[in-house]
Amino acid sequence: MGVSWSNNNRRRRRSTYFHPHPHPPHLPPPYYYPPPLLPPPAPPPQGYFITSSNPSASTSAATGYVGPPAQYYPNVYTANSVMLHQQPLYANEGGNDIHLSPPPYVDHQTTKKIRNDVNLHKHTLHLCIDPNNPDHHLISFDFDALFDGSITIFYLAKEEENCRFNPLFPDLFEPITFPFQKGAGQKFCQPSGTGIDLGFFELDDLSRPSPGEDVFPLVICAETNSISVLDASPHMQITQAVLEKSNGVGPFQVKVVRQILWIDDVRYELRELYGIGSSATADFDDNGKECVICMTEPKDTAVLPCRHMCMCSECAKALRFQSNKCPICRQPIEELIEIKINVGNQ
Amino acid sequence: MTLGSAGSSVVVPRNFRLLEELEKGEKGIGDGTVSYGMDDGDDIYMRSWTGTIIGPYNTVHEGRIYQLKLFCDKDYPEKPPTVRFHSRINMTCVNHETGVVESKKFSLLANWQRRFTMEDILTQLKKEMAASHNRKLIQPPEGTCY
Amino acid sequence: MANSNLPRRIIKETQRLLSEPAPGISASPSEDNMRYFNVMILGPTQSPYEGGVFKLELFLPEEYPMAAPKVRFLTKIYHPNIDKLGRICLDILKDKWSPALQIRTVLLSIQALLSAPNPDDPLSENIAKHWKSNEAEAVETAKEWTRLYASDA
Repeated sequence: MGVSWSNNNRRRRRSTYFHPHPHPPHLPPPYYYPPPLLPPPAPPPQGYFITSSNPSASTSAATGYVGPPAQYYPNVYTANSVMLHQQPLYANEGGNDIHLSPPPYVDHQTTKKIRNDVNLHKHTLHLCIDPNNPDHHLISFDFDALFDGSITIFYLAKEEENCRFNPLFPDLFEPITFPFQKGAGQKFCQPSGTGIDLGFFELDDLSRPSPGEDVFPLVICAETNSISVLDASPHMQITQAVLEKSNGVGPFQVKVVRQILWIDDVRYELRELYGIGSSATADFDDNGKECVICMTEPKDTAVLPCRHMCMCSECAKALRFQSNKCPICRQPIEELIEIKINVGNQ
Repeated sequence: MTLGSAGSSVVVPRNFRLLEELEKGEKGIGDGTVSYGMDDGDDIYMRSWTGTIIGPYNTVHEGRIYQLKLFCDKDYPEKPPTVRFHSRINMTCVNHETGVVESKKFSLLANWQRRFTMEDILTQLKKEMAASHNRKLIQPPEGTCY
Repeated sequence: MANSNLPRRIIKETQRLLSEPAPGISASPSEDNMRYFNVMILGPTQSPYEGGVFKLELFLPEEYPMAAPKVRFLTKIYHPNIDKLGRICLDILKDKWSPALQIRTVLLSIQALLSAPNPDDPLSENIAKHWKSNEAEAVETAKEWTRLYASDA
């Protein structure tokens, strides 16, 4: 009989996530504005887009993944770029959505870019069996790092205030930390003998986060050492994943649910934008870089919360007079963000 | 709202224009004193229509129900439909022998525009019944047809 | 002129329809109205409409792509979701329309509707009843109609 935590009624911690918003429409003060754009040093591991979140949209954190794409758009969903979405100030509390006001018409917001010092390539994250110890599993992934730092692996870890993580069952697996040196395109392979015996856990607990998304079965925290004078606090990228077995058998599949950036005491959620990848390609096929509405202008506007990057800003504005639905998935539009793609600068 | 996107450069083709008119006619028009519907539900080209006008108040037509036939040919709505009263009526613009509405004497047909509809024709004919030159004309017995 | 100010999207869609037609579907704009298309759909294999050539007409209203294209069959067809006037009961032509859909996707969806009649959401009550009470017989009728009306010999 394995241990289980899922009956525990853990309330999501109300932490002090502040909300950087250039034109705060609804929230009372205080506001916290994100640090100014860092001077562009060496090219960052990956370009990220940061958006401020809609204060009345309480769903960004709780929505999680969008369902499977509608059948009519076979090619739209290639996502290879990432958008940062900051934790809304008023997210779920005890499972109840708190809306400050009815979802308003939210016009375009523009994005700003922040630098990420370390990046775990989430599609490369795998779990494999320790060849010297068949009961134990080891982690591997690819990553880029601008500075030296360390990687910490947690199982069934709960997010605490200020992006700290605590394992629920430290007796079964003590978090383990490995240092790394800076460099792009590195491969991390957890050394043999340091793995975990997942047999102690219920499959159900491994295959999903806690209802409030504060406990994830697998949490990998990549942290860079603060060598820069400018930023004294550490930069972290946290990858939260679930471990699934198809039909309860076979090897574990790692599915990354969310990535979080912790930069200068601000917590950002990384969410993928669907369709931004094809923006950079030059071909003129149906699902290429063009706005799906006018099929002429480049896509530069994404829909939230579904994260479909599919329109130009003009068509997005026109659409709001006609419809409240995302053109790609028909989910209600809560927010539109315009993302300036600086092609020559990536 | 006018059917057929008046004033824009977009031209609604005949069949889709007639489908719009059909749907509007099925929903019912205004106070119900004029109505129309398709004669042959199998005719994919929607050519033959029957219109109905209830005679306007304070005229000799009051209380009478007039049936008309409208025929929309291939060139509708560039050209007006042919309009013919089925119920006998005494009106200046209607041929006494055939019941045909003579376009020379009915300005809507004489000055036909693409945006005009069968509803416009029926509504205008109803107004024409109430015009001073028509409202007191002696009428054929009620219920007789051409 | 009726075709001035034709949106670039419509021009592009038309060019792609002509240069890369979808299998079993052809659509070409009418000479005097670039928003009005003559469409042919081949009856899908393994459907009662196999072997049939179905003529349709399609019109892009002024609001397109914010509003759906208008489409109807000109060839008589025995199908629970298509009425006597060729009007089609298909959600993406009504409330499920999205401006990300195109002429091509609409026609592909109509082609798919021929392969998968849905008598639970009928436009022709009688045909739907027939389909539900005796599907084999209804399919035979559909085949017969295909031979009678859609064999463009």
